Amino acid sequence: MTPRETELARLYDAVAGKHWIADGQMMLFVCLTGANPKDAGMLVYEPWDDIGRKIPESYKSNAMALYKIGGSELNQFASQRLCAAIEVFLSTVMSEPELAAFKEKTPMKYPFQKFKSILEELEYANEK
Amino acid sequence: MASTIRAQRLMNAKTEIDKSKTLISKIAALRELLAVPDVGRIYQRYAQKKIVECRAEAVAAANDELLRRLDLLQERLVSHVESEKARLERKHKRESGGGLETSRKPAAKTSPVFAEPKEDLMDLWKTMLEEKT
Repeated sequence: MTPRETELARLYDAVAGKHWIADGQMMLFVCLTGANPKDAGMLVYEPWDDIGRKIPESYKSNAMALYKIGGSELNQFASQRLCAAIEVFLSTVMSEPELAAFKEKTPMKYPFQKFKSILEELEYANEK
Repeated sequence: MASTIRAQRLMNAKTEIDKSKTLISKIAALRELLAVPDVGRIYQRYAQKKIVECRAEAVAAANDELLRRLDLLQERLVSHVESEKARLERKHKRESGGGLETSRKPAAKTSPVFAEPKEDLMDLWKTMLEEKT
């Protein structure tokens, strides 16, 4: 596996894979720190508590880069889950207009959409 | 099977602690909890919290006997924590020893710096984005 494939596999594993993490911010923290999702339990106790269960502001540029990767490289569910978590984090370190401008500049491959029915959603998925 | 029995014992002891109203029965239940082998992190934290609460009550009641018992419980808890730590270190060593060259090492407890992002990871992401464009 190339480093790129390994990294994408790691991200997918943390977001929607075998070792997925339920807490959105915790999941994002694991993605940002480069930790193995399998060992996320280790992070829960020590470092995650040490930093006050809040992702530090220094991760802002990393989160923005991850948004670009997550929004374009992962599949629909994983990409939406990861990007939603990043948006939550960015909303705490950026102003609202800044975030809106960033989202406009970096469109997601699978943007969030509201469907009226499951049939409409399936039709959309098939088209994709 | 053994782990189920252990989990059941832990759960029973915890229920007992929560239910007990007197300090002495709480300490007895705590002893039951810490008598279980390999108490996990969650129960360790719970036991620590309860020991602190009981100690405050015992100090208020000026009961030396109960304080002595609490000291013994604290020692027992520390030994649980240390054995857990040693187990995790052994696990890390085992996992970081093998694997592919490209595989990441697990987030070890020995690398406590998480306040700042990792440069190498950012470089990898930048390369990924450049490759895409």
